[in-house]
Amino acid sequence: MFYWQILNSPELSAAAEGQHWVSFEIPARRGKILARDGFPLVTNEEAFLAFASLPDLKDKPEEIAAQIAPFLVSKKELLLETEQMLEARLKRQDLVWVPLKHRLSRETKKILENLQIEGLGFEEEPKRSYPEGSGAAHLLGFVGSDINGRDKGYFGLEGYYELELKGRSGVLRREKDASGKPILVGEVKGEGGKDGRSLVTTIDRTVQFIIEEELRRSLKRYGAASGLVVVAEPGTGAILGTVSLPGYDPARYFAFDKEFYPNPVVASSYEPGSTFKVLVMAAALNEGVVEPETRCDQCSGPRRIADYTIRTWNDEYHPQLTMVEVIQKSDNIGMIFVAEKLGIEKMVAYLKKFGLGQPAGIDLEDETSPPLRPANEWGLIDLATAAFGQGVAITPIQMVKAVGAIANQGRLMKPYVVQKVVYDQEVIGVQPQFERQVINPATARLMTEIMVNAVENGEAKWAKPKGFRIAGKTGTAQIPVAGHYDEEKTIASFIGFAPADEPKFIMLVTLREPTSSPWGSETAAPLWFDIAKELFTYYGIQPG
Amino acid sequence: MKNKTKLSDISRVRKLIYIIVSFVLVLALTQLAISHQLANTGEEIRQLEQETARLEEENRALIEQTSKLSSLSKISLEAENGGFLRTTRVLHLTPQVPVALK
Repeated sequence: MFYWQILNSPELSAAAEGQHWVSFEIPARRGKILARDGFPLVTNEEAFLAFASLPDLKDKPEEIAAQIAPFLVSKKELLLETEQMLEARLKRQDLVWVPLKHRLSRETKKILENLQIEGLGFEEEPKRSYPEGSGAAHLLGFVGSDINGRDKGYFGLEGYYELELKGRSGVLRREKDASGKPILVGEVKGEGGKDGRSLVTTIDRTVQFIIEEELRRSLKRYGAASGLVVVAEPGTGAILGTVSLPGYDPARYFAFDKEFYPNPVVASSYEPGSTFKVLVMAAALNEGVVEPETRCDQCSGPRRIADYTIRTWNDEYHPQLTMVEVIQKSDNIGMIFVAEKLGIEKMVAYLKKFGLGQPAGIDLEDETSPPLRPANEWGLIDLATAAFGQGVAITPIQMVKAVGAIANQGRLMKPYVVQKVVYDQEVIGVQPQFERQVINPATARLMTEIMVNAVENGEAKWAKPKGFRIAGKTGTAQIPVAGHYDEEKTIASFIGFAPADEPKFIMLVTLREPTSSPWGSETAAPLWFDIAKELFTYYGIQPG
Repeated sequence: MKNKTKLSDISRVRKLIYIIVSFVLVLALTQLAISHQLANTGEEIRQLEQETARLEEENRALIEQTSKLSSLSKISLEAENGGFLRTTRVLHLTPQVPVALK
C-alpha cells in the first residue's frame, strides 16, 4: 500500500488520469480579412494535417510510405523523394507522433482514410484561401510558419494584425467511460480558446479589381518592368485599393523569391520627379513667396548651380513663365526659381509637414521611411534638384498622403486600411486620423486649380477624359544607379484626384522602366485616366 | 402463547429481510437502468457532437464556395465566356432629360 499510495502515486495517478479523461484541442480559427462590403478577401479553407501515432502502427513503415506517398505528391518526379521522407519519419524511434503532410484537402483525406491504415490520423488544419485571387497579395501578406511550426502572419495585414488575427487555441477535458465515450454527468474542464478577430478593411473590391486589371494590361502595353497603383479617399485617408505588380501568390508564397514579399507601396522608395513639384509649389504659395501669376525671371535658359547645369526636360525655355505655367509645362528652371524664393529652411520644414522623413503610419507591416536630411546639410544644388523631385526619396504611400492634403483643403490625414476589428458582437472601430493642417484651405484650392490647368493644358491632355475636372501632375524621374542617374531608365508616374472640387479619390500610378516611352505623360497618365474613367462610372460621377 | 409470539417475530424479520433484499434489488436494477441510460446518452452526445462538427464544416465549405463563385474575378471570367464585352463608350445622362417641346 505504501508503495502504491506514496512511492508510485504520481505514475499511477497519471495513468488513471489518462484512462478516464479525454482531452481535445480546440484550434483557434484565424480571423478573416474582409473588404469594406464584408466580402472575404482572405478566409479559411478546410484542410487537414495527416499524422502517424507510431506506437499504433501495425504495418511496416516502408509499406505505409509506399501506400500513401502517391496521394501526397503533385508531380510524379517527387514520388520517390516523398516516399523516402515518409519512411524516415515513420521509423523515428525518439517520437510517438509525427506529422506526415500538412494542409491536405478533404478529398485526399478521404482517400487516405479508405486505406484503413492503423495509426494514421487527421487533425483539422485550415489553410488561407483568397476568393478574389492573388492581386492584392502585397496588401494582404501571407500566413507561413514560425520556428515552432505554428501559423504566423507575415507582411501586409497578416503581419501587422497578427495578434488580432491568430486567436488562441483552447483545450477541453472531459471524463470518459471505459469505451472512450463521454459520461453525461461526468466532469468537464475547459481552457477557453478564442478564434482570431476578423478585419473589415477600407478596400473596395470593385476598385481593387479595376486597378489590378488595368495595371496588368498596362505593364504589357507599356513594356514596364513593374508598376503600382494606390487609390485612397482624400477626406479620410482610407485606402480604397492598392496593387503592385509583379506580385506573388500568397497561397503559394514559398514558390516565390523573398524579394517579392515586401509591399512596394510602403516598403520601396523612389525619387518622385515632377509629381513632387506640386508639394514645393504648394509650400511656396502658402508662404506667400510666389503668387499664381508671379513670373519667373530666370526661365530663359539652363541654370548653372555649383558644378551642375540644370535643364528643362525637353531643353525648351520659356522666359517670364507664370507659376501656373511652370506646373503646366513642368519646368525645372521655374521650380528652382520657386525653391530659391522659399529657401532651404522653409523647404525642409514644409516637406516635414507634408510627412516626409517619417513613416506615413499606415497599418501595414513593412513600412519604411527614407530619411530627410536636416536643413543644415542641404546645399543650393540640393534645394534646386529637390524642387523638381530629384535627390529626395519618398515612398508611394507618403506621396499619396502628402498630395492628399492638397485634395483635402490642406488637412493631412493618416492613411489606413482597417476600419473595424470584429469578434462576434464586439466591434472595435478605427476612426480617420487628422494629423495636421499643412497648408491653408485657400492655398489648397489655388494649388488644385493649378493642377487642373496642368491636366487640361499639359503634356498628358490628349489622354484626359472629356468633361471631368481632374487635378493632377505627371512625373518622369531618373533612376539613381551607383552614384549617377541611369541615362535611359525612368520611373513614370502620375498623381491626381477627382473630381477636383469635391474629390472622391486620389490616385497614384507609377510604372518602372517603361519601354514604349520613358515619359509619364505617355504611359502613367493614360493608365491613370483609364482607371479614372472606370471609377467615374462606378461612383456615378457625371462630367461637367 | 410464547411460540405464537416467536413465530410472529420470525415472520416480521423475514418480511424485513424480504423488503431489504427487494429494495436492494430495485436499487441495483435502477442503477443498472440509469447506467445503461447514461451510456446511451453519452453515445448520443458523441453522435450529436459529430453531427454538429460535420454541419459546421459543411457550412464553412459552402460559405467558401459561395465566396469563390461570387468573386469579381470569377464573375468577370464567366462574363467573358458568356460573350460580354468591356464597355468602350459610356453615355452620361443629365438629371433632367431633355424633352422636345414641339
